[in-house]
Amino acid sequence: MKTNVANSRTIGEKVLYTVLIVVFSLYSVSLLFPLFWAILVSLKTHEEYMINSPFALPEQWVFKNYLTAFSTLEVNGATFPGMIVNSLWYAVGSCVLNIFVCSMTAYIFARYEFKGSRVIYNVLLIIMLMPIIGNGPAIYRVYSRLHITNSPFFLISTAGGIGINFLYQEAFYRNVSWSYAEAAFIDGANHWTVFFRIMMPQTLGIVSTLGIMQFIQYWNDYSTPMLYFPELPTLALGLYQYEIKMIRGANMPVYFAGLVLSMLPVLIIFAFCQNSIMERVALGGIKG
Amino acid sequence: MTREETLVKTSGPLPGEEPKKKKMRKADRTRTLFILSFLIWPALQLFVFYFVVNAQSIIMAFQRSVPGTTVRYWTLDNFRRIIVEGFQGGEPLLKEATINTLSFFSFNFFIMTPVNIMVGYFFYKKMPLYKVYRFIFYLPAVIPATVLATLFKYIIAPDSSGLISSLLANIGVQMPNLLGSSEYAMKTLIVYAAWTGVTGFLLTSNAMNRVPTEIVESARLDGVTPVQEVVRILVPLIWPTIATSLLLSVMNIFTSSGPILLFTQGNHGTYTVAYWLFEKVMTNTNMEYAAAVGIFYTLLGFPFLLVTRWLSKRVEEVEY
Repeated sequence: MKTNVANSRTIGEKVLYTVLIVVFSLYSVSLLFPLFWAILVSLKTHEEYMINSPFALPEQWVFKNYLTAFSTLEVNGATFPGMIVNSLWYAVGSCVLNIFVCSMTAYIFARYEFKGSRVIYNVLLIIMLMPIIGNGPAIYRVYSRLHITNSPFFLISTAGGIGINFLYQEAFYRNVSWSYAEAAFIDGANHWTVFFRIMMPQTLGIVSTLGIMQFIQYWNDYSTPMLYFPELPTLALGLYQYEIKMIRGANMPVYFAGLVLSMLPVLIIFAFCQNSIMERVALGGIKG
Repeated sequence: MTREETLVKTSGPLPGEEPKKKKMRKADRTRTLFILSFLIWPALQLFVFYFVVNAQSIIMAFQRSVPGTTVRYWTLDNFRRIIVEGFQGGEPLLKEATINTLSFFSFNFFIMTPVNIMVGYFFYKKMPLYKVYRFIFYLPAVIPATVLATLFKYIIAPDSSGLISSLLANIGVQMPNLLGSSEYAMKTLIVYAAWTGVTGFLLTSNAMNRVPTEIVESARLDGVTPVQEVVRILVPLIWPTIATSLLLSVMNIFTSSGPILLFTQGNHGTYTVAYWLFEKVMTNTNMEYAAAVGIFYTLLGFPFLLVTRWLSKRVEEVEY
């Protein structure tokens, strides 16, 4: 099929593809150039940055800027390594808790019938599709009363059992073969063993894709930390706050080194996992 | 199932019960225990973080607090304020926010959705270099928005640090301050949304990949043109995906604050509903009024949601 399509291109299509390649390449350059430019700036001295044209290559390549960023960039009392720690607990914690809790609810609703299970399932679907807009003020008040603002305990708010992770895993558990589980039950395994030893390990494929995508999303999230734990700034929030507070004459190359460092983890993860993201994700299901 | 319920409710062994039945009884009890052990936390979490939060939101909308005290009283004032302050008066911020929100949405709906369908189609057709483009086009979804926004600001900065402005300076043209003027600010934000908004190709091209090849192949043998292929065959077949992503964007229309915070903080006529609400929570001001505004837009958004739901249902009949 693939080769058929490639071989059967007409002249019209070839012209079209040539035009497309030009347009797509220009757009690609517009996305890539700023990234390279940021890396270039991060390697200049502060004086060079101030005097030379923004397009000039660094006269001396100051790799030390990255160490300086790591040890000196500070915002609201949070150091750069501290911000990394905050980003990590927020991103990893939210992903793991949300995916795990969703896997439990998804498994029950996909595989166990109990009194009212269909009704509850439908109510959950409605809740997922009925957003209540602007409940931010109420969220803020409830979270303050629960004392989970400005604390890693904020994570319990992300440990819910519904949402996109529920939908994907529910579809998976519904369609996956039940024969291993049946065999295990006959051998005397209990429900917990079957779930943790046999069923959950099979979701590893979709769970890893979901996990990667969400890790990236949470790592980059600046608005949730800003509202609910501003005293524990993540890297995304911290660099934003740093830019706002930056006085004239601050060392820009060091700030740019910080920016480059903040996107490095997600870029590396994306580069290594792009195939699973690119080919598996679809609305309505992730291929296992 | 009812049997299981009664079994769980009865305590102690029944007289004359056969050992096999006893075993069954124990199995059913374990099953119930298992279900409970898995659902108790999610249920509690949902109760607090969905029901309590939203009930609180409704209560707040009908309350006002006496400044400097913890005293609150019931009132409809917050809703009156929406009309009097938000849509009339000297600075009708909600009116501005509603118009801007609708412009962002229309732009996404009428421009970016078709663009994402087209880009998705060419990647589905495995155009030359598609794997490279696919990787690059998806970068805006991977790179932190804070970084992208900062870079965009340097691209368009009006002074000597700006990339475009230093190019223009060579030919003696002055770069206007795009983010600092009411004339250009909103348009610039829409350009930014376009620059970073092609990531939706991922959903459209993956949905097209799931369309059975026989359908497309046989249409090709019938001499269908590429345009007909997209409009008549692929779009109807991947409609559930398009409709679902439209539904998500309707849901997000009032909830995601977008790039406003990173660029203009609502200055120069760039408030959106979501950013207005975000600002109120961030500065912890007028929380009750903000809660009322939230309820107001929830009701306003409801017909939108129903229409989109109806649209997605209508075409779900197409199955393959």
